[in-house]
Amino acid sequence: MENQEKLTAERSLEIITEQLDQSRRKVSKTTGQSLFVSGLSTMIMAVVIGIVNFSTKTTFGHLLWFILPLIIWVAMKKIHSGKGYTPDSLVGSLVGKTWWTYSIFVVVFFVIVLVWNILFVSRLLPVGDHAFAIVDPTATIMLLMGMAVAITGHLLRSNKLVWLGIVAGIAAFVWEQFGIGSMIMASCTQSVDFIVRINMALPCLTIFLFVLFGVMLPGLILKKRNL
Amino acid sequence: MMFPTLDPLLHSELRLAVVSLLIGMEEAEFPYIKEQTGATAGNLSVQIEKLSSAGYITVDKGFKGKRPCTLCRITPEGRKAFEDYVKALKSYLVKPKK
Repeated sequence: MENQEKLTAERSLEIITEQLDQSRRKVSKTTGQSLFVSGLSTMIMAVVIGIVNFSTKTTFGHLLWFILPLIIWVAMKKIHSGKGYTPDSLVGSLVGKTWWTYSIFVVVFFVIVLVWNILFVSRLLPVGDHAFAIVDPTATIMLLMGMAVAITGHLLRSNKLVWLGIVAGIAAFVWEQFGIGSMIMASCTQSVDFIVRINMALPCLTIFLFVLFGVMLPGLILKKRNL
Repeated sequence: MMFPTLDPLLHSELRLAVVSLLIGMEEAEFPYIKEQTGATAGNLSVQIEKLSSAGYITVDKGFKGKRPCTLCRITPEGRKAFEDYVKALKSYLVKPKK
């Protein structure tokens, strides 16, 4: 691009639009890639934890979630290494801050719930009341994730992302909070042992489905999107 | 109909491209701006110097590891000038009412 002093208003507008579009395309691609990789890692982790919980008839497999951020961080580092310098755009930094805030909420909420469920509920309440006082973190975490996906969609002006986030977040919350999966499983089999095992693994199925439709699919759409 | 004057500093293809690029970024390195605008290093240096002298952008020269690194950022004055430029540009593009 050479410096030409005689510039028409139309050409000026074209230059501005071109640069802004280029910047938005880059952010969309990077965010799409991040969502895709995070989604894929989360889905694989959900399968592993589901198998652990199903086979041990416990929920201790959920502790493995704590290593997920490390796995995602390593995967992202590998993907971005050798790709050259890309500056932080204002939109990209807002998307990053949205997910950073989401992570803080999830980690703090998860720790509070673990402490409450393991330390307080089992010690303070009579045996029969445990089921009512135990907090299931999956529903709330999925709802928050749906919100983060929808905000990302707004920032990147992608209506598909906004709606996938909203629908997937609310659907996962309803599915998990009202035990729809457990009810379906209970109506399909009479084996108490199987019902107990599947109940330990069901949150992982919810997470798997939510992440597939609410994170990985939007990530793929963003990656492929041509503005 | 009177048309507002367009800021002569921004009304140049390369300088406008540089400011349009920086408007959506927190900061950008010289090679990145060169790649995005397709300009030659010499021409880009001259135009960046002009924008910097006018206070529209800041240029920080330092090192990233062992290699030299030139970082450009838009200033609030540059942002204001760009907004005014776009506003003025709009009046050129609006068709006069009959």
